[in-house]
Amino acid sequence: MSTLILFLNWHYLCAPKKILEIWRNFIRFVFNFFSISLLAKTWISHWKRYRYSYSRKISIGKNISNFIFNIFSRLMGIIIRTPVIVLGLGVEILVLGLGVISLAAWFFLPLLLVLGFVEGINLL
Amino acid sequence: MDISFEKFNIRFEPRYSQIFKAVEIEQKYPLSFCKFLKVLFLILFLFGLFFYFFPLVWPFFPILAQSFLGLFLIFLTFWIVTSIWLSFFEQVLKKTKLEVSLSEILVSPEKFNLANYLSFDSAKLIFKTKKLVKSKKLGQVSSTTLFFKILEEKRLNFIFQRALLNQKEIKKTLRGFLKSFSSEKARSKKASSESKVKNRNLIFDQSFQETLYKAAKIAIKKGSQRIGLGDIFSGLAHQDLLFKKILALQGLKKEGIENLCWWERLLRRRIEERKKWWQYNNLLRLGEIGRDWAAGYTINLDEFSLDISEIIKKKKYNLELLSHQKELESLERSLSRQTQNCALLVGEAGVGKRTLIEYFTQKIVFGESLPVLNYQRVLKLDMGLVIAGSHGIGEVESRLNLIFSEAIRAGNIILVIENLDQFIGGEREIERMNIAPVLQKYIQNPEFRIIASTTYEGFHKNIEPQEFISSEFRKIEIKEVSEEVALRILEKRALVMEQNYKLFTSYPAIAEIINLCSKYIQTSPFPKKAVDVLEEVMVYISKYTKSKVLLPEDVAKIVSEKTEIPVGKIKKEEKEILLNLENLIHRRIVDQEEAVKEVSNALRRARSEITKRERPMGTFLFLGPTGVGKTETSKALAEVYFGSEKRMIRLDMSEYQNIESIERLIGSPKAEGHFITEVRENPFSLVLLDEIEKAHPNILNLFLQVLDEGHLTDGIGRRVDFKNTIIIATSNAGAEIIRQDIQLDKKLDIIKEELLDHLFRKGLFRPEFINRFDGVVVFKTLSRENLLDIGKLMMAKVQKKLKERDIEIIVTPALLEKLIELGFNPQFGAREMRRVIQDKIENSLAKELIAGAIKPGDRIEINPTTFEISKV
Repeated sequence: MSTLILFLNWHYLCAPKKILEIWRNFIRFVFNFFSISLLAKTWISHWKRYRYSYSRKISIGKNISNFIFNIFSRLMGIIIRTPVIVLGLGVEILVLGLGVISLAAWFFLPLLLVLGFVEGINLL
Repeated sequence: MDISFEKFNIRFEPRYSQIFKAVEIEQKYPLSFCKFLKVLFLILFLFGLFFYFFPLVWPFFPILAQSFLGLFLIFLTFWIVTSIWLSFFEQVLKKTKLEVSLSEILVSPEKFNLANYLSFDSAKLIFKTKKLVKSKKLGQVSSTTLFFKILEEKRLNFIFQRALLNQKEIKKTLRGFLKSFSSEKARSKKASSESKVKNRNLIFDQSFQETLYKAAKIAIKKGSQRIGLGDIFSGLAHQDLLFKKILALQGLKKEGIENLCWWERLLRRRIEERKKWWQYNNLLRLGEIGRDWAAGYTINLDEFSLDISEIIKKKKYNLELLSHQKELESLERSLSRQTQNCALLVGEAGVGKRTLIEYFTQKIVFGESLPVLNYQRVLKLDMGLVIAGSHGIGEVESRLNLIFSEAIRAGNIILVIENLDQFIGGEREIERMNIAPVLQKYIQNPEFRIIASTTYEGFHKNIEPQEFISSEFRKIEIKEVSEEVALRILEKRALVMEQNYKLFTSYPAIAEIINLCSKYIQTSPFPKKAVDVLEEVMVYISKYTKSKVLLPEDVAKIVSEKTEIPVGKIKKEEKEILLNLENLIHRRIVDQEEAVKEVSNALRRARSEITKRERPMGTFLFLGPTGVGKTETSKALAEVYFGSEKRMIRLDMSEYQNIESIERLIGSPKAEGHFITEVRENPFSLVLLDEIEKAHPNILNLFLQVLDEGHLTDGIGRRVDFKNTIIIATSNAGAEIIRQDIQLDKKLDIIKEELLDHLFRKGLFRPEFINRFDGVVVFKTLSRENLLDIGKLMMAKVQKKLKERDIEIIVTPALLEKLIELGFNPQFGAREMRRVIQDKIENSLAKELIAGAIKPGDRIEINPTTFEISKV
């Protein structure tokens, strides 16, 4: 196979696969870094598993007070988790966008290089 | 260029191979130059960018800004083009597509072009070698020309340095060799009639092909599809005569070069992996946010534990598990279960349990384990800290209650408890801290995951009797790693220790550590014993010497100090001892020519290591009447071979007549066996099994395994190696046959045949037992002349002892004759003689010495009739 065919094969088939792989790494990393799936799953869970259990053995007043505490524990969890999830999703969207741009730029790179060079010569 | 081959049938056609085309391209556009251009264009485009923005700050020359933008665009374009070219070269041209696997190629190497399976560096090396052969008119590409050229590879400097091989010297030798070869070739060409025909064909000779074939095999062994530079270098170590000679002179083995190549590859891969920052594992090292928000607080647990997960995250490189893969899988499976999700690692201290836990933690940290386990926190409970400062078991229990309930509440904890046996049951002070009841309370909770570790001894003594642990914990046995794996672990550790001690570790030193630890240290397993010795040698060199290089001699010195065995001396002297064994034994043994010769020959056979030996160094069965020198020969052998008579482990087999006595021999879960412990502590010894015929048949069966496989498993499951022992079993069964046959003047081999027949007939030994010995040696009865010589030897000992007190004793021929007259008893051999000397000589001497009748400086004589002592 001639070097040119090998190059075209690499540029339009192999390298995009590599870019996709790196892109996937970043998407997975951001997902992991902001613990998005875990925080979403446990969004309304008690903050740090802090909760009191209910029992018939204790008074209604105590049960109600436990209930209120548990509600606030959940609220606290939601308050802290929400911004991280939102931030994480924002970064994820950014990574997705950058990935699309990188992939598109890679496909048109030969053309962009020619244009860049011609434009550079013109500007001199 | 056409390629032709002689005898060896391999297809090797560089001109039809893609990888050689890549080499040709690289010759036209060298990669190093492209890399230089890439850096240059990067600087220039940044330069253009800077000056484009510069007028914004200093707006007097706006016209120039446009030109700088143009320059920026042009150099940016060039930079991208060179970057793309380099990537294309690295990813495509250097890694050509392979149609079939390398292992399939080797099945029928004549069908496929092996040149396609070279790595880029290897192809480049062969390309350069071909060029050299052409320019020097050597005619053939041989393994030696390849060896000459490979010396220029900078990547192999690491190997030469570690192997303590002088690259310059080798190159000088090879240059001389090639020069002489070249002139010889020219002469033979002139003389030959074929010289008129210009031979344009370049021949890859037999040695080259064999090297390449071997290199391919080595590549397959390490799971590679391309023959790398290291593989060719290892192949040369196996095939090239000159290289083999150099290695032999340095005391290196060809396997050593393979190991060094592995070491170099490990380092290179680590550096390459670290460079790939975009890889998922490398990105994960940046940590994460909010992972533990879903888990409960672990304030108390954190105080009493060490976070292994955090330590792993901070490591700059990935851990590698060189053995125990199956055990790792078993650990993952056990912990991922809903019930009985605790694991107990059982193995000797230093066998690699901690490494296994660390590697398991790494898998969890990177999310590469089972989904249930991924991203959990692995914490090592510091039991010392839990116990410290507490006022009795009550406080310890309440602390543990707090810790364990926190671990369950957190929901993401895997707790590691090392040496669990020390905190469960038992009788000693520390073991009164029995945490079993607390553990029992939580163990069935599905969120309570524990990895505990223990030794075999601790397991049998303290853990096994606790039924709930046996049922809730899954036992995973961790066996000792092989010498090969231990060597690789040591190579990895050496790099870290080198930085701490500012030393350079040579490969021969590392190989020597493995060799000596395997031979002389059995009290701890591999890799611990090897790592301990390495560290001790490092401390010794950095503290007491000015040297910066760790050498085999330093290792021998430290091992000698540790084991009290002069290992360096033994190594040097072994050859001499083996060649001179008969004479050395005869210093103590009178006559028994055939027996001594047979022992010496068998030992030389065994030690020449013609075949790989997994058995003891030598195993012998000595048959003969009492007092003819069987035990004395064993003592002599222990002295000449192991350096001292004290290096003899003696067992009176008449004490092992019952089946119950097996316990005394190999121990039981509750107690260590006397014999096996002694062998474990002194693996470099002579084992003497006196009166073997009296032992219980089951005990003989145990020894059957030792004689055959060279190891025995003790009562608590530890494997004890006998590979560095000489085993001698003695028996006086059938002594009467020997006596009768000697009287009839029969030859020794006939006596042996008759004796063995008798033993088999009587059912004293089974043929398979006898056949396991390297030699069955028959000792003759002693003649009167023999006894005279023995008498002389015994009296020489008395003389020596008295000389130490500055007393000289004259031993007259009349005295010796009298001693023989009294001591000659064919039934008891030399034993009667010893008794007579004790009674008549030593007793009299003792009385006179105590009475003060004999003083230092005296010269004495003994009356042969009355045995009275008189001064002369």
